[in-house]
Amino acid sequence: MPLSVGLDTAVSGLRVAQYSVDTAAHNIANADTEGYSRQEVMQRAVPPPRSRYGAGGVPYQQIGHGVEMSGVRRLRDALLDTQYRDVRGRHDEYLARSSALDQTEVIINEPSDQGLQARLSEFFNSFKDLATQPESVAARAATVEEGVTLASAFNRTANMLAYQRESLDVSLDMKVADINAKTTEVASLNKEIHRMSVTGASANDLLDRRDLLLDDLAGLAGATSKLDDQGMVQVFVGDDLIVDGVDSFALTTQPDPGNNNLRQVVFADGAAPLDFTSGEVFATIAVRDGEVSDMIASIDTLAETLITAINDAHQGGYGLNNVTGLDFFEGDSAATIKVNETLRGSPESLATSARPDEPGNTTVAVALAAVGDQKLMSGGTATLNDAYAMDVAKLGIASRQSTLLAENQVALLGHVDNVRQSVSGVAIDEEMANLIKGQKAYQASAKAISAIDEMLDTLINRTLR
Amino acid sequence: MTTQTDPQTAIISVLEEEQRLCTRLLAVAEAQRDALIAQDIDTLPALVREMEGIGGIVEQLEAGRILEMERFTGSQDEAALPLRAVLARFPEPSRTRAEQLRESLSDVIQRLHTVNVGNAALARQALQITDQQAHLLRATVPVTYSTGGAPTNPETAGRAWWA
Repeated sequence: MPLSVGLDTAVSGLRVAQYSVDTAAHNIANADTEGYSRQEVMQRAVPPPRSRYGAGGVPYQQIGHGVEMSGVRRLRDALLDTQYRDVRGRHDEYLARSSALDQTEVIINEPSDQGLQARLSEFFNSFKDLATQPESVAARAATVEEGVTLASAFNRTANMLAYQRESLDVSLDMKVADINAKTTEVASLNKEIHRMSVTGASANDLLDRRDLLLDDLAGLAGATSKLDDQGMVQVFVGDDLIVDGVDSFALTTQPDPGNNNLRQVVFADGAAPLDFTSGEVFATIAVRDGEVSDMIASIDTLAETLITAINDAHQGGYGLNNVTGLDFFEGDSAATIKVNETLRGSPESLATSARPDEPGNTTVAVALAAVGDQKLMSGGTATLNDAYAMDVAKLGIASRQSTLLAENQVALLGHVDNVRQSVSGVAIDEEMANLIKGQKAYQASAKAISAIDEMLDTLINRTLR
Repeated sequence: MTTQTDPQTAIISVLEEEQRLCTRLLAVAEAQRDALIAQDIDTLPALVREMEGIGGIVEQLEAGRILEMERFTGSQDEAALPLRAVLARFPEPSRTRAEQLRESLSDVIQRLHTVNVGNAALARQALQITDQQAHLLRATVPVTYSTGGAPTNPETAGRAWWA
């Protein structure tokens, strides 16, 4: 009977439409969920059965058989995802780098009255003052005190740089643990998604979770991914697989004897090192082994050169009490430099004279002051202060560049994410506009169908009789 | 003096035109069914316009056919007789031709009626679903804006909806 066919069609339409409502509700509930992709129900007309005729002798191909759901589609653009992850790797790398270099600049604290440059200048100026009043105990004490202040500045800077390097180093453990947690979950999701797809169930929410993890791995490790022929994701760091289908390969850190026993990231099974090329881990290692280590080496060289030059000039001199052969500084690095305790307790022992019993002789005091103007650094081309100023400037340029790159990458990531959201995101106002448009279209259709129905009733009565 | 077409020829012409238009209307109704199933709201308005247009023409043709039947039978009472009975009075070969057209038209109308009943149910369900979805979405609209878009709180009228 034609009417029953119409009812069957309506029932199937209702069943599918209920899925649409449930899907719309799911979209709305997750409008603000990070990583959520909008879903839509796909429908198709039910194909006619093999028998040629249905009820009432009407050929089947002429009768509508209703609608069935062919799936729930997740609105996601794989190409945009790849673009996003590429940009995200650089974004997180530059942000981590910029943040670390900002900390380094704070430690160096230049230009300032407490920085090494100012302290070096004051130290050498104090010898110039002492040369004008070599018999003054107060002037001697002041010079010794400048030495103490300078040594403290070296110690503090060296210790803080070492602490920053150690912090960066230790942070690798946490980052590796985070990578391992995410790769384990990706492998688990691969397994679950594959199982659901084989049974025909929808795994859209699991797919969203997996994509979110892949985004995070891109930022953390510069990881790339691709689908294998089973629909499972493989994840790479460089050319190394860290996830292959249902298997994940754990990473760990171990000391690198070739790099001051600082940590390197290796596979837990086999200890082969990984080659990071972007992301947070890459930036952490680059700053730790680059700018921070370079700065540590720089102030160590500065301290060693200062210690050697000052001690060479001081040892040959005589104090007010004719003491000779003393070092001014002890130690051999920025972390260990300190003023000779003998001088701290007895400023009279500070050597200013080239000969005994000549307290007014200022030859050694002048020589000590001149160390500041001697080109002892960079192969004999720069003074102590000039060499240090160049290293500070280099650090400043690297830091500014990182900040600029980070700002650019933030804008770029925002743009790519917006484009991605335009495909995947849930826009409530767009959904409402579509609904209003749909309501009008369905109302007009219902009205037209009703009018045709009346016309047909009249025609049937007139022509079928 | 104008020569008027004889009523038999006129009635046959109307039946031919009605059959052609109803066949077209059937195709439109089937397209409307597919659009309702696929929730293709962009296609539906054009189909509605075509349905209404064809429906109007068919109604006019029917009115014309009734007048020609009155002219043929000579009385309004006899024009109200079933079409089959009136066509039986046609001379051959017009009678055979007219009867074929009547059967063909009846067949198309039956099929059109079937599709239309299904479409009515589909349209009703689609309206119920969109009403349910609109109800869901209305709950997400911020209180500072009415569902029509007008700000309800003048103090926040200048703010974006997410503010």
